[in-house]
Amino acid sequence: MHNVLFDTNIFLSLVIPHDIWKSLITNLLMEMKDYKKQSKVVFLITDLIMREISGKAFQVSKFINDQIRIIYNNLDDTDKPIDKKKIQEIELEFQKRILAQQNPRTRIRNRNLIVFVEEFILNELNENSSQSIDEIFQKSIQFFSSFDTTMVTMTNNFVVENGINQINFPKEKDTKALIRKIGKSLNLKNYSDQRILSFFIYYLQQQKESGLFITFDFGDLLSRSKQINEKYPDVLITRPSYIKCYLD
Amino acid sequence: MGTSTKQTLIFNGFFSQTLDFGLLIKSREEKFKQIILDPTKKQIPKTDFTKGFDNLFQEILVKVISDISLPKRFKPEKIVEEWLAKSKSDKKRIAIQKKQFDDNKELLTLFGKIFTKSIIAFTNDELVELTPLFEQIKNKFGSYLDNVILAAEDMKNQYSKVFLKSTLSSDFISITTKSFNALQMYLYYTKIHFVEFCNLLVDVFWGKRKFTEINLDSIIFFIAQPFFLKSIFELIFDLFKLQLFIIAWNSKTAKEIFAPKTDVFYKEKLDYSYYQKSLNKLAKNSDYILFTLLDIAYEEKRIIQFPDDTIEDNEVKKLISRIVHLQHQ
Repeated sequence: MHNVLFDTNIFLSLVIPHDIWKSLITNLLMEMKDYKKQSKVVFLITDLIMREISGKAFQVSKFINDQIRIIYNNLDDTDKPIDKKKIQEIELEFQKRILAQQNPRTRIRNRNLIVFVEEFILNELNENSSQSIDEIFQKSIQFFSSFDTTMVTMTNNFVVENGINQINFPKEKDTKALIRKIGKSLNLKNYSDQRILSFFIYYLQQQKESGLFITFDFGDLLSRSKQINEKYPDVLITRPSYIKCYLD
Repeated sequence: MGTSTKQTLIFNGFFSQTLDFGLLIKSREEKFKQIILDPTKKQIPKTDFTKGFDNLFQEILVKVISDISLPKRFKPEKIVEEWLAKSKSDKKRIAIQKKQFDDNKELLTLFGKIFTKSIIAFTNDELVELTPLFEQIKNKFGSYLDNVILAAEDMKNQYSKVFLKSTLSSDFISITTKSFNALQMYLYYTKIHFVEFCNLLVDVFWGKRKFTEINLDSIIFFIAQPFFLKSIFELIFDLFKLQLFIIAWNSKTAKEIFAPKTDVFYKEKLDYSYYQKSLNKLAKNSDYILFTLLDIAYEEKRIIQFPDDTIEDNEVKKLISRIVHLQHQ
């Protein structure tokens, strides 16, 4: 039997209703229903992935909340209903924030995040034009502050609905040390990926089974797939489209 | 923390309601013990809940104030004194509290009735109709928890308002919201388990199943698991402490803490290391509660409808998708 563990990026594609990868992955899952019924494959998630999702969403919420407040503080008469002049002011403030993102490493991502916030605020405004800036901006703060809770809840629901098995990272010191040792031997660039993959390898060793680690991470994981497979033959790092090819 | 509502928020609303919830659990245990020790006792002894709550709250306040970092200009005794003076003259608070005590009394009476009736029924081998009582208690306790969940929602709103106008760090709003979410999820779960537990008990009384068939673990976990409840109450007190700490460092006099002149708070005025430590503690504890609840949901194969108002919105779904996708490019 093959154990299949999805990396965080794949998992998010599955959980998120409109993710661009979603159809590709869900179609694949549909195709593999029979394999699952015949117990040829078991889909897994670890609590580490849940925590990574929560952590990433938390960072997004912090950045967005900061941006919302900067824009809010540059607006006047925030307690009055929004008219066309106010909309112009809001648009201008958003433009300023978008342009203020100059760090080449994060510029594209951060600018896009600000555009999404802008979209949220415009949606709110279209739904009820009599709202004040105070009301709309408070709503957006509340929505984005809850972003991490929303994400982990959605992930958990997906896990329950689709019969995915959850395996939890061990708490015992000795076992943690063993996993850390495997992790060091992998020598990956990303600590979180290293922790998840080393735990998966440890789990497979304990179960005396083999498994696939599914990811879109070309830069680190996929490029080192062959080397890792040579060192740990029970685990293979691959992309979603290849799952069926590797199943017995 | 807003101008008109700051004081109400600290000492009424969510905190007092939730503290009251804790008190209710404690009192209920004592009443049960009394009934179990003396099954013929049909009457629940009268208790002065108002006095009990005030004493408890005063004790809590003294403990909280001695725990938090305060500017040298404030003596802890003076703050307690101010609070007591203010709370005695606060008619709104007294009215809210009175209503809560009445509600709790009613709830306790219902709990008492069920247990007394069932013990008498078992002792005398009589058939007693308990379904209406269970229905009442389900509705009453359910609406009680709904009110606390709503109060937490209101707190999140107020905190968002404060955050927008203040210079508090973005950690503040993200962590406090997460804490309120964890508490709301806990209450939501308690409600589900309590309702299911009542339904099972009704089945037992109608002979549809045996009491030994009921898995008590989940309900005990939510109502009386000491370690988990400790985390819940720690979270409530830490939120309370953080709020009091921020207001105190932004107030000139002890009186001002309870009669605010502004809803704008500056992180620059705070003891920053205490502030950061408090936020870290809150983040750790809310994570623990949240992930424990998610583990339970997984074990019970249960779908969580939380936060239920946003997920259904298609535009919001699209937005979440795009943000998450962006994070993984």
